[in-house]
Amino acid sequence: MQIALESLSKRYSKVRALDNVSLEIESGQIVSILGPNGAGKTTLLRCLSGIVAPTSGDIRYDGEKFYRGNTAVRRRIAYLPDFPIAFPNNTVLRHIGMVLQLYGVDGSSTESRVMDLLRGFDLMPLIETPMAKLSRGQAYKAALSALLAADTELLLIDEPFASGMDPNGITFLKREARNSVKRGRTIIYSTQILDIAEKLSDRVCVMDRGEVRHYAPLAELQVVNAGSAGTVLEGLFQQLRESAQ
Amino acid sequence: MKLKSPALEKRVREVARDEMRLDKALWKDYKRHRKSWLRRRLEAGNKLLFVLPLFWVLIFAGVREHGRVTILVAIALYATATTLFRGLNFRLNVVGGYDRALFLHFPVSDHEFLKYEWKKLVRSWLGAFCVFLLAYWIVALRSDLVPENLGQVLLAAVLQTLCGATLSIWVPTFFPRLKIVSSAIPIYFLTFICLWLPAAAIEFLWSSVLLVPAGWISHAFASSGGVASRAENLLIAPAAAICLTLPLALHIARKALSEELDRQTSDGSDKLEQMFADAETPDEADIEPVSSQTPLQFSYEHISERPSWETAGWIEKLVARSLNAQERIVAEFMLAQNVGGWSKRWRTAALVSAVGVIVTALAPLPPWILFLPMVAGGLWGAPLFGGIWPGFNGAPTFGGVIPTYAVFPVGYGDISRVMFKANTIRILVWAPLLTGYATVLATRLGNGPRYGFVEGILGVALALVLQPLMITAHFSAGTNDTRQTNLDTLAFFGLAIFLLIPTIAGVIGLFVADSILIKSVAVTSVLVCTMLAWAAYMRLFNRGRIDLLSRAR
Repeated sequence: MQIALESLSKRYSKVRALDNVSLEIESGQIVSILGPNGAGKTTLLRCLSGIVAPTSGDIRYDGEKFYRGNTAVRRRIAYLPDFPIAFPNNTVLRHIGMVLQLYGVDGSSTESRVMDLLRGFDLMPLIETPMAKLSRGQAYKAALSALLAADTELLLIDEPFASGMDPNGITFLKREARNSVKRGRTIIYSTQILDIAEKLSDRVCVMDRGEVRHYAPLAELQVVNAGSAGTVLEGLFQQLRESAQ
Repeated sequence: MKLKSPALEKRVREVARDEMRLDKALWKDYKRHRKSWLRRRLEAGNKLLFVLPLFWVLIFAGVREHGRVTILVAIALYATATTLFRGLNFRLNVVGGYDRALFLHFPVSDHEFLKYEWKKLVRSWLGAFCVFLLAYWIVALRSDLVPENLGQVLLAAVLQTLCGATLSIWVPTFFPRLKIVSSAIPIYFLTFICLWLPAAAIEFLWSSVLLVPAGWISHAFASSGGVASRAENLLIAPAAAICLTLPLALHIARKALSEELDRQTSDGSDKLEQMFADAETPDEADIEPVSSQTPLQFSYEHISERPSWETAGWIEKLVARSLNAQERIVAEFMLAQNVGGWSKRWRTAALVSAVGVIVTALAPLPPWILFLPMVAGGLWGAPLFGGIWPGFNGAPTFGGVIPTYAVFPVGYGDISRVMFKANTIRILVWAPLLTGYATVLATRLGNGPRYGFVEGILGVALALVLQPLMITAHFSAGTNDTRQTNLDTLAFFGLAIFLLIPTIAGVIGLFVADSILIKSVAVTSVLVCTMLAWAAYMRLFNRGRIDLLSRAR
């Protein structure tokens, strides 16, 4: 799925959460959205999922202008907010089943996929447990499993590495993300953990005060910042902070 | 326990502002994020005005001819509701609420925590005292008591407050399982609507409030103003007796709560986990251990298992027949997979209506009471306000609340279609209950069965034609449409205001007009208006001119 953002802006009364953001994202890659707190990362993900309406500008998926009303396009996108959204009394299994129904995913091949995800996320013992009884990390993994099982073309995840997931869950997510990308899926996620972003991403998008400061393949940034102290992204953030001051 | 450091705040603010002023960008950023002084004050005032239903009753009832009794009834009802609310809310905060969860994470002893909550309770009653004082003052002014009997006003307000405070400690001690929603909220509602009740209803409530201590004080005060008999002055004695039990109530409640807090934090206790069952840790007892040797047995049928519409109930069966495969999926999602509540609710509504019909036919009760079972049956059995759809429930996130449906690929049209079909069928199956009841009621009131039958049919028609509006309201509740100022939202609200006039005219015409033709035109005009509003909102929603993000309430 080709994604294009054209002069996207979003205002919350006086605050400009997104300021004239223009991006083009090719399919089949992992894109990390980085930036200080309040940079507009979550707003960008919410705009891409259709939850938040841009004040101006367009989002295009495969060249087609995206509206919230276009359910066919929305079936190709999955979004996981910072707090997983699920009906509290539904069991993990029922939640996954419901999400698959909503995304129109059917067939027995799904069974093995769901099983793999439940095994990978250590959720097997919890399949009959209501979502409300899960810990934060477990609920997040359950919601993530459902969306990964739906296998949408675009997966938007808000702060997955600050979600309370255990190390095993994080490792499994990284592996699944890589596998999905190999199948041509696109994953866009926000994070503050630069080490993970540096290892996992194909591209990084650094935001600050609603604007995109850097958007480039990681390999390119590594060349530009060669020789700077710390990791590539740490160097980039240091520059950003210095330029702001 | 001090929770504020105003001096420190002030100092830090000054230093921070001085530092930020030196950096233009930082200062600009600070100003953008800060709410203006006026806005902060306005928001605080807004909350206060809406929180106190009695305030509105006083404002409106004060200028009415027979407002005195209405105010006294409202005082008694408000005092009762607020006693239940403050008492139960206090207990909730202490043993399992947000305050408890918060302070557990800080080095605060149970004793300090309890003291802090007591102070909060006392402060809240001081606010109630001001309201009572104002309310009795208005009654006194209307009874020409002031300024000679200012002492009576003060005494009544003090007694009302002390009595309420005492009971707000006794009630949760002896009835800890009482719920705010089912106890205090209906009485608050009654306080507010007593403005619009007929004189007979107010008379009835005026005698009914004698059942509660708050009513005794109202009656005693009324006797001094000539609104009630002199003998009712004596009611002040039992109310004062209740106030005298305040030290005892405090002692018993403090002991009980301290023990409960101790139990929560003592070793080996799982009380806290039970208290916050929907929060942090999973209940280990509910999770069966999985042996590595025994693989879990479940198949795709388990994953794709869906609720059965056929066995859920006869109304669900009817609704299922009207929905196609995709619509069923949307309906199951919007109902959180819990199919089967509609038939049960209809059965309860039928029972309530049947009891109401028998009472209407046989019992010599005031006419307005006879309407109540009909209203209750309608509210319970029919989706008069659009019905209960958990898919609209909000989930908290940073910056507000996102409705559940927003993060899944279900559209405005999909959900509306399902709601409209389901609600239409539910209203139609409720129609015999309403028309039957209305027929009996009209006969009892001397208007004849035909009149009642026709009014019943009109009620059903109105419920049906208002559905698009109710569906729109469900969507609107989960968005920030009223805070999003753009051309589209302004155009929508302009249209909505414009449509309001013919809608109200249509509703009035429906019941007032004699001719069937005018009634038909009225019902059609209401339907057209509500459909237009629904379609206009769909445009706003689908075009993405509003956010699916509402303020946390």
